[in-house]
Amino acid sequence: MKRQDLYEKMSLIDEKIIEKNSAERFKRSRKPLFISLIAAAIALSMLTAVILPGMIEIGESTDEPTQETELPSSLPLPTVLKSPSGTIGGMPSKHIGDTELESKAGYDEMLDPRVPVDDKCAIVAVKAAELLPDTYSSLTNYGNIKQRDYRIFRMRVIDPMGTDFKGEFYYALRSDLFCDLREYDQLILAVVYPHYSLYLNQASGEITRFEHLFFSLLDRPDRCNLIAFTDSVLDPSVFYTEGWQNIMPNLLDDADGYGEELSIVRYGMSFEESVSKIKQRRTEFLDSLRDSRYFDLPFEYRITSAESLKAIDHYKSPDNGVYGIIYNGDTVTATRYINGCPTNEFLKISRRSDGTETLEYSEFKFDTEDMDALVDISAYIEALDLSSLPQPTLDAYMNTPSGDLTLGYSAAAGWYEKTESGVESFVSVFRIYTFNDSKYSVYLDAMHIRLTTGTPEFLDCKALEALIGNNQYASNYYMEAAFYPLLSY
Amino acid sequence: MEDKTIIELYFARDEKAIDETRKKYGARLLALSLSITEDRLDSEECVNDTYLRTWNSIPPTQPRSFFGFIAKIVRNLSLDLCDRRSAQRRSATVVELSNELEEILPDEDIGDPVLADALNSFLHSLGDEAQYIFVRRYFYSESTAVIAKRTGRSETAIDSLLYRTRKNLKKHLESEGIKL
Repeated sequence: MKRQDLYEKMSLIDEKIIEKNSAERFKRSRKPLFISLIAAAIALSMLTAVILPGMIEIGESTDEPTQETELPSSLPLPTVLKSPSGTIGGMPSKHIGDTELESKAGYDEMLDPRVPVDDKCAIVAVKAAELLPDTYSSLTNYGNIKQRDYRIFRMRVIDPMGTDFKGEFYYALRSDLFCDLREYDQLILAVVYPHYSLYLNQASGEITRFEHLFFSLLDRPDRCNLIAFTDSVLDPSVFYTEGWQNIMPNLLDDADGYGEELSIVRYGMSFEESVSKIKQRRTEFLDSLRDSRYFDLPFEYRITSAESLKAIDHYKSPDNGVYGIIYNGDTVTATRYINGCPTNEFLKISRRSDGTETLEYSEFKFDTEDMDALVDISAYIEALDLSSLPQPTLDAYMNTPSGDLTLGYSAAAGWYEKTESGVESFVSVFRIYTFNDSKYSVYLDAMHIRLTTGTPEFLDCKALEALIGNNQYASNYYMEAAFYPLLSY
Repeated sequence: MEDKTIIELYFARDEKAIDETRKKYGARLLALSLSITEDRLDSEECVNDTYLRTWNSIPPTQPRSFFGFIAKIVRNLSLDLCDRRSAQRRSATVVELSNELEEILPDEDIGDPVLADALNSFLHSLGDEAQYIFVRRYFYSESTAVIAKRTGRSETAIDSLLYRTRKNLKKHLESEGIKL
């Protein structure tokens, strides 16, 4: 049966809607003054927390370390795990659809029990000791698979600022924002620990594991969590490099202050003063950093109902687990991560057109007993023997001849599923293709490895669906998971 | 000149209507067409044809929104032009956007009025920002980088939001009984 090209059919959009959205810039709706003031206050506190030290002192003890990250006094070289020889091949597959999870459980069930967390973030003063020569890549997925390239510095801690960062660590800076940080005398970095540690070395094609690698949250144009100093005085020159100019226009336009309206830090501030200011507000900064890492809600998204606010408080607390949040206009979905992998434990807040909210929960929650039963997926992926995998074959995709596609990557993503009969641990391995006449990518053939029983069990998509009773995993897990690039072609 | 006055000129069969349309909307129409054809000469041809098509359509048509009306015309003409090109010359943008929407392909048996109703009811259900981003991407054919600048968000955020919106659109069309 012939299909309509929906892109062409977008001409059916109502004329009023077309005109309404013809403005060059999106104009956010005006809020009542008191709401604006509250939002501004929240924004200011969050931004200053992440960005730069404050001018306003808050009397708060700062000497107790809050982070548990153990670092070596000197770093081992990154480990090359495997070379990209061999092939992944084999099992037939299909593109998998999705359906909504149904919500049955109430909020109170989410509060208990407490479980271990993997939440590592810190603000620390360093000196860039080395720049690794190669570019390293990871994959992200927001509908399209995107490769993200990093340059990696070896950082030496010069002031732990109340954390346990006493040795060295690796710091990944996006290649498009590259600036040689070795040129600065000191740096203050707000860093977060990524869910994953495997990267593809672009020069050698090898998969490389970094044991102590952190990176910044740089995706927000209104935030900066890197402060550089020359001769012990704040030096904004890093932001005048090409990549930074694109994401930091507001700060660069601010000639008098250093993003005055955002950060309250100014040109001329010394390194010592900056460190002191941050130490005074460290707890607040770390809370904000954690928020920005996992709960990056736009300021205009206001949660109002008491039940939703209670839920937000729950998933913001690191004591209750780590949640990744996705904001989609009128809906906020928080997905629970364990060992860096998404699960089917989630919470969703949807805003209706009348301003009220609805709250949904997943049916299952992972408790302490479940945590003990989970397989360490990352360790399995690290040790994955590519040559042992069954050979997948490419299925036809939407009538696109295979000749129009180029194989890009093979990648793996881990995920956990709690069912009525217990918890399951899976790794999905799939190939990512690019259309030859566009940059659009698709993942086409997938195979799944069930690790639950301790002995890897290979499943195709149908077998997996039969096992867990639904086909939601493609959208709910592939999309949320960190990808481990396995092979480069 | 107000849109209402321009439309009155069309109804009066006054050729100043075309001049005023060109003066007020020519640049925007050209930009819209360029985003589809990626060829200036082709786009200029499409825009000129748009004026002629508008002249021939009003009257009797009384547009609900004048810019929306002519934007649709220039978009359709630009897509028609792309279709006439050889496969090699097909605009990368058209291919890319068609691919993005490939998972939401209604049966050809579904008439345009049914699809239009479902599509527009979905767009009306979106928040202002989600609607803006969707329309900029799939009607105005803009890149995510441009939309990111227009909204002050990151490209990643735009990609993410578009992905979710596409998923929701698919569900919405299915809920409206449209076969995909």
